[in-house]
Amino acid sequence: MPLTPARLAAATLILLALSGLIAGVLIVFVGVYNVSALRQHTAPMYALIDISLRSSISRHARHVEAPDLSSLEWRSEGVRLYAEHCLKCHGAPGTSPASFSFSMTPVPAAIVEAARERSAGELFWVIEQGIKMSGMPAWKYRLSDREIWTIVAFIEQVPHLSVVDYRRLVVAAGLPQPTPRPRVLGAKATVAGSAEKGHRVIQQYGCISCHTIPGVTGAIADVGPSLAGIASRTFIAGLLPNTRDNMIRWLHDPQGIDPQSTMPSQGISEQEATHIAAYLATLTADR
Amino acid sequence: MYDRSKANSERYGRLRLWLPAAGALCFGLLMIAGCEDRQPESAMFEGGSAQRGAGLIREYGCGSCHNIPGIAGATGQVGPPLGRIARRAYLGGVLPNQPATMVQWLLDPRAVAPNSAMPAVGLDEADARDIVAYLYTLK
Repeated sequence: MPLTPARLAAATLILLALSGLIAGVLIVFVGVYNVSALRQHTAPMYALIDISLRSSISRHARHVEAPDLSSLEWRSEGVRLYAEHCLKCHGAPGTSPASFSFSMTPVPAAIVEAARERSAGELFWVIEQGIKMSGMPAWKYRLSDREIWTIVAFIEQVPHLSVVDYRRLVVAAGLPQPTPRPRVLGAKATVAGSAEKGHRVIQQYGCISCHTIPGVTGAIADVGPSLAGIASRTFIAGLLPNTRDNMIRWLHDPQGIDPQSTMPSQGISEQEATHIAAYLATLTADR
Repeated sequence: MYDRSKANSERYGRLRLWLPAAGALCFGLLMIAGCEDRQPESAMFEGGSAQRGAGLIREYGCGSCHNIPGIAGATGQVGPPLGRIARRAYLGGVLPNQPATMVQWLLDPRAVAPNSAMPAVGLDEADARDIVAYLYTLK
């Protein structure tokens, strides 16, 4: 039987359909896809979900019309509502989210990144509707439209706020200052740093919601600098000489070193920081 | 005893028969899904010449400390790479990044962040605006 182009095409299609079917059976019935939140999605799966999510928000929020946000009390009520309902997962300039939020997969977006990427209408839609199969709840039956728009009005201001500006707003709104440092488990490092362990720890502290990190799935954010080539960099955060010990100190408590930094202290123990530093040490400029 | 297959058939009924097909479809989508270009809302910066800015970046030697796309020889590793700097939320880790604040940062980084390793290189405001115009092309 001669191999004509038509037969080749048919055979290719049948093979593709079969391999798709086998993959489907393995995932749906055999359970080979690991749903553990300690493991990030595979890179293609992450891309599929992330792209679909972004497209879906853009499409469904396209007719949401924002009211005049400047007429809303974002300085007082917006800051208060945000602190009450959103801060624990999405953080604020220099303020860490609650530690449980780092344990979520997908990890909640850094609010400044959402504010810079999304229109006011899209932010409203996401808050009102929530996002299924993520930790984002729908607030439609919990908050009034006016309250949601007031939160949006505050979020729209976040890209203009330094750490100092945000702390002033918190004080002016009569709220307690957020705890500077979440609880740290197992303070001292007893084991040598392992790049492999560090790679896993990175996924458990929300690093990916602010930094682009080569080799780490989902790490494509631009809140802080890209960590590509960080091992060859002279300074950490533009102020500390880039030694292993300084990197561990910085990861463990950036706010203790520079209270102006937008990088929060997240409760990373010295041991965990040692592992993360070991991974970052593999990111040389020529990699 | 908990029977997983029964629980699944109760939850999804006849739909479960279609799930492998859906899996096949997802697999197909994975093959065709490309990379999406994320567009931030950052406004274009008016009032500076990006072309002149590129020349000034060479003249002032910014590339001895920073890796800057589009500038020959700018491969410094002292500070962070400036690829996609227009999208970056904060400058020097402290200053909200807008074109106007970037001008302020370039003129005198230590006025904003006293401990910063980045020095003021003696730019005037017109020069700084041109450099910002160039850096804001890096998305």
